[in-house]
Amino acid sequence: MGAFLNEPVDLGDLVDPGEIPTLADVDFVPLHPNHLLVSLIGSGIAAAVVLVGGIAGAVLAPMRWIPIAIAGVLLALILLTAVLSVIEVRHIAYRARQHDISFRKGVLTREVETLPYVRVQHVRIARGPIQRWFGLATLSINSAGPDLHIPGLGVEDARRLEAYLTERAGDLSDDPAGDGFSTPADDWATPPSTPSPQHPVAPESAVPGPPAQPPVAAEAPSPGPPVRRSVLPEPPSSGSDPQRPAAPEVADRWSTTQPPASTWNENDPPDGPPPR
Amino acid sequence: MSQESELGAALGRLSSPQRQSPLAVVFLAGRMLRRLGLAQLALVGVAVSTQARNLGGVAAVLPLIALAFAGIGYVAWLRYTFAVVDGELRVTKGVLSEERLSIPLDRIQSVSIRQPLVQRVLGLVSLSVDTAGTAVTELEIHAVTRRVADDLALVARNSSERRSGSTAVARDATSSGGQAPGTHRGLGRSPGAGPGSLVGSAPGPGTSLDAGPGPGHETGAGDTLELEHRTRAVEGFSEETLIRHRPERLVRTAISRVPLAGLALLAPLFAGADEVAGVIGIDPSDLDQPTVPDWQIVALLVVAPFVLVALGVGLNVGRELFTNWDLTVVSSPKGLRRSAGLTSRTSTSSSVARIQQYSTAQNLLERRFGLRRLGMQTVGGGGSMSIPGCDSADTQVIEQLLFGERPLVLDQTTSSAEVFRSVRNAVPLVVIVVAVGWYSLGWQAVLGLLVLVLRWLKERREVSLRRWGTNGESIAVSDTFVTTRVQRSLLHKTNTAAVRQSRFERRRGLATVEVSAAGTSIVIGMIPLADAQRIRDLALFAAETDARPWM
Repeated sequence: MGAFLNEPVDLGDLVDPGEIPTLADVDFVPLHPNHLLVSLIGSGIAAAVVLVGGIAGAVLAPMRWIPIAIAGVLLALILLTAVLSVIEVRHIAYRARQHDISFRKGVLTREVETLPYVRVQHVRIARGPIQRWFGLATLSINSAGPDLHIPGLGVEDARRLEAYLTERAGDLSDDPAGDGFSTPADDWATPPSTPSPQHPVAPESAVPGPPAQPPVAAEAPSPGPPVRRSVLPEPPSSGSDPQRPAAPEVADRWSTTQPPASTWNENDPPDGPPPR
Repeated sequence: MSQESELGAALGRLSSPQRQSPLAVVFLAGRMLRRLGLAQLALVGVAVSTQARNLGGVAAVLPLIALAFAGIGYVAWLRYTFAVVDGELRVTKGVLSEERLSIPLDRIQSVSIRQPLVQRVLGLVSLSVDTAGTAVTELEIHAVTRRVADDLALVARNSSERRSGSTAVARDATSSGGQAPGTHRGLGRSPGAGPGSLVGSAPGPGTSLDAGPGPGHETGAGDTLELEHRTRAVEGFSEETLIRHRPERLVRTAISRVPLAGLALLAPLFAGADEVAGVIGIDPSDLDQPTVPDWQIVALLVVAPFVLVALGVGLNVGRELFTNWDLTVVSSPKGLRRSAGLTSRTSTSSSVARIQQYSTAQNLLERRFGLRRLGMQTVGGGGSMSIPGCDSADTQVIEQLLFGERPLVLDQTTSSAEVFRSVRNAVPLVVIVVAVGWYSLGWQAVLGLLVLVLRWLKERREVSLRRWGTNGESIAVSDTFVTTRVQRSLLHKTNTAAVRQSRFERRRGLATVEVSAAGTSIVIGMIPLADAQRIRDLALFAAETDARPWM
């Protein structure tokens, strides 16, 4: 048996630092301008509820100062939240790269959280009533570890990002290197196999790669979501399968090829007023 | 019908968005009621009915409320659609809020089909879909036909099988290029070998981050080939015993544990002391006026702790022998298997790929005996696989199995500013407590400020002994106060990586980095921002380029 060695190693000798892309050099993309408005409206609604509750409590309760004090503390907290939202809006941003997506947030404690596409378990888009009015959506990316929640995306951006994430998650989980035969270093310089959607996707900064795609405005027309490379065989045409029952009369709120009567259609305008 | 055509037909049926059976309206309305809180609603109902003068009017409102919930349930049913498109299960739902969920089929961990009583009567089933993404069920379909449920289960299973097939080949390719954690051939100790003697030819250095896919990729991922690959792997791999604890090791392990833990078992005896005294004929009230000389009481007070500690040690030894008798850790093609137990033998298995974090713990007594407790956190509800009483040879075997032979040196320190921050954060609470104490007890409450001194001493020791390091493949951090704990994770299992900066850290150019795997994470705080960013970038690079299975 050879002697067990445990010599110190220098981290710098293990991987060429130039080979590892650095996230710190990447520019982030701010959220939709309406995000701040939605946050403030949410705070306003919360403040109104607290105010009404406080007034009702002051009228009905025997000791008026207790509901007034509670309402005062809650209103102060809501005001603080609103102020922090105003400050945060200058900092909160996201960035999708070829292999991962990052979200930057926080005022007092700033945080940049990154989730590689190969670890994506599922993607969720949620739109509350106020978000729908202002044409916004929250994108949640679930992994087996912590999740990433990006609020305040334009609906179109959220849809494109969702399509891109699921496509890349499928492609990369089968072949983390990106093309199956290239070395990882090659892959970092290789653009995605499918043409990138129009949402901003940054190439890795430390590796010479294709020229950076400039961030595209949320209102830009979309070429349609990329086609995911399915691991499943193609379904037969509906007419060829005698066992197939008649398709239920359900509007497809997903497909861009069969535009249904839906608020999720790519070509539909947002429910509310146009973005500022 | 062949499996392929069955699958194609199932995909065809699921490709257009469809709704649940109309019966699901009832379940959706019921779920909404549960969310609102049935107990709260009942309380409101009781309150209204007791206050109301006209109970008939209240009763008349109830059908309206039921109708409202039925209406909401109907809208929820109307807006709840699902389909399988482009290899994804897509779901839309929501009444006021809209939600759409995209689950890649190969990420589905399980499809559960149930048939409760109501569904059984109507010939329907309920269906739930789980991924590794959240602890709760991602998707619950309350009432669909059996065919839809079977179709969904079929496409999910097929996708999962195809995915595992490609992963198996990727694993093969990786292991041919270097020693991957999943390939532990020859790392075990031979049955007759002495402690610490490793046999077999250890493969080369651990799979480096820049190791590209090996020739295995050229062989393709066909099902037949995958089956051959698996068969070869099983045939050519015999189980190897990595660790086997003999009784004397178990006794040493038990002695090295804190004896107070064993004393906890005596608590019921103390609680029932009066009853015990009564049974053996002693009146507890007599004990208030002891008739024995003072020196005997003093002697008892001196001897009693030793007796109690001896009892605790004895209990620890008994518990250790019972629970960990013949503790054996075996390496098999499926991973690690730990079995132990005297009366009932318990076996725990996990594939190496599912182990997300490795940890060791060593208290003062264990350090004296040269033993450690090893823990391996796995994915899922199984928790951690624990191996107590491991010596350095055992530890080496497990670490080589999990991390390969590339050494990892914990030589990086964290900023001593942590000491100041910790004490500063404690100051407001301590000052308030001392002020209240002074007001109620007197000046002696000032002694409470000693808490800050003790905290400063503790933090200074912890920060001075805290170490972290990475070798490009794995990252580890060790903390020491009384017990030394080390956590270590493979970087390629990273699920998310985050760099955080509080205002305190920002002013000093410091940051905290958190590298999270499935269900576990390693957090290193108060390190230079550049180091935190480099760890983050390294973890992402490993996760995004390393083809080895991660769970």
